[in-house]
Amino acid sequence: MNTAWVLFGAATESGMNTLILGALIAIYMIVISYLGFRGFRRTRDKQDYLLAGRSAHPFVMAMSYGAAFISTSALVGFGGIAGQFGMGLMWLVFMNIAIGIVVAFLFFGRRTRRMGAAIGANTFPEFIGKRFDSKGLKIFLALVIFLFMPLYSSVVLIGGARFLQEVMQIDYYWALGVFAAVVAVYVVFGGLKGVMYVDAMMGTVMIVGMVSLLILCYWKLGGVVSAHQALTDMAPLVAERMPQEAALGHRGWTVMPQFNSVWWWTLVSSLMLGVGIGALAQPQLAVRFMTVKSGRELNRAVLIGSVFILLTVGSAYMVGALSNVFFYYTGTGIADHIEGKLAIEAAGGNPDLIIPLFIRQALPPVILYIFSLTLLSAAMSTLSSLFHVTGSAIGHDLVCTLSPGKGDSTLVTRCGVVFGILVSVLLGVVLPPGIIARGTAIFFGVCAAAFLPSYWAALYWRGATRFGVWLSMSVGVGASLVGLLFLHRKESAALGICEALFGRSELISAFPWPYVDPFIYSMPLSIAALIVGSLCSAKLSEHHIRKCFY
Amino acid sequence: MLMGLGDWPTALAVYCSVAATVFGVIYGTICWNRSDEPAAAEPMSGARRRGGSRRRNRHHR
Repeated sequence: MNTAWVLFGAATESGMNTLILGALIAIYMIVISYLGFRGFRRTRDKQDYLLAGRSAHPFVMAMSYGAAFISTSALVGFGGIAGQFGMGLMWLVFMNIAIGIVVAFLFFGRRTRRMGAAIGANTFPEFIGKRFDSKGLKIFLALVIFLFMPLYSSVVLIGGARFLQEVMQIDYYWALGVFAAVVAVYVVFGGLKGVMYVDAMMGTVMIVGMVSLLILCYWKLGGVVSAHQALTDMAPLVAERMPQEAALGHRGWTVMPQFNSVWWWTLVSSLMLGVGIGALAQPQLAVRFMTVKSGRELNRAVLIGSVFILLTVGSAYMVGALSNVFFYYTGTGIADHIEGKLAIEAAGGNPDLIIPLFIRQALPPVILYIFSLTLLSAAMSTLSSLFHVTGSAIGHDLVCTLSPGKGDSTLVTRCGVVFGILVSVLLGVVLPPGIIARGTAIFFGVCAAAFLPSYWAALYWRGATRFGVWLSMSVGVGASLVGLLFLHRKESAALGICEALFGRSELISAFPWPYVDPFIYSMPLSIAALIVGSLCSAKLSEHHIRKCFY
Repeated sequence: MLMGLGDWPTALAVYCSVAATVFGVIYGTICWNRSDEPAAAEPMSGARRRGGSRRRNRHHR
């Protein structure tokens, strides 16, 4: 049972005409095609295709950044986790705004834009490669993106296809093909201009959908303070109805978890720090800083981006936690119509169903239409960004670097995008969901530890050297993989390599190590490697440094 | 002050999220037209500019 099933069930039960929903989605696709075509018409050269001509409007840039940042899992998946564990997750909203927008735009974005223009970089791997005057670094980063990004793309692709399958009542493989084809058309032909135009429209839909959801939720529960108070008063139910979660540190939905408990470590190390800081090193987000003409556009984008994150992610987490009040006092479960359930009980133990189920049970049917488009937008906007960055890594960074001067580079990049999409579709068909989900976690962990220290050094440390960056990336990737394969229980148990080699699910069982996100130790190790490596190796030429920092 | 929430750290998370957004809005508004491009060269006085122009014209002739 998935999100689409719950929404589709609601549509049929409430007497909603699913044809209307299908027609709305069809109109939506036509609008997307038009925006993609607009992008195609305005794409004349490589810079247009890879960086939207370095002249994106601040609204388009900010909405595109936000829409690529926030996927379906951020709204439905993490919203469901908030339904299970409560509003402590609002710290992640703070990190997303403070680090993911303010710090990213002002401290990373400005310099990335200026330096990217000075050295003529068109992609993230090319940026790092040119900054440290190393084709090897560029190829290495492109390879990491090519190897791991399709795993993440396939997760988003499968989610969108399942949704279309249920809503449009078509075969899953047809849904997968249609969904991938629609995104492929505007990414391949429209380039980053097409992607950003479509993202801006989708970001607007996401804001409308999530704000409607939050307002109606508070209205349904009797106002802001009344709703919070009702949820606070439910705290004794945790020990009574969720003894396992209580043992992990859960104390209620409006209080923080028990200090130094399993859930506290998950919230602080994996969600707040891992996800919150890790976003800075995402290549598909970093490349957007180079799409604007000047720092003025980034200043304007800070305003738009911070509002976007608060309204979308903040709404999802609030609604997720507050759904407990609705289900306990007024709501019903999925099938058995038993009153007095907690959200996670009503959703049959699957947190991914909490938000869709709440919408189905609590809100007027028209919200279903809006929320369906919101979910589709979140999936498509993230997917298109991933396709574009994977394709540019294959076409522009790998093929054009290894075979320079052979053919039209924009055409090669377009072929790379098509190849990246085909790989993602193939993975979506072949790999089991469990492996894909773990692969995604590995990609995020590796990205944060491997890219972030070097990215920071590229922007702020003139003394950073090529060897230091190589060492930092190697240590970051190595420490992340060791942590994920042998120490962090969630991944090590699922992948089974530690079990096969050592006969146990993790090497260190003493608390809290199985619950500490690998990011917590791989990041400092990567930073230390960068500093030591740079201090012990030959500096880049003064002429090159002056060119980069002008 | 807690808005019905159960403890200060959770309420603080909500307040900090709103505060970070307000910061973004105020910063974006104040710096709406501020660019990070290097400042343009200081304008020269009218006499010197005219003189320079004459010199360039002579050179071109």
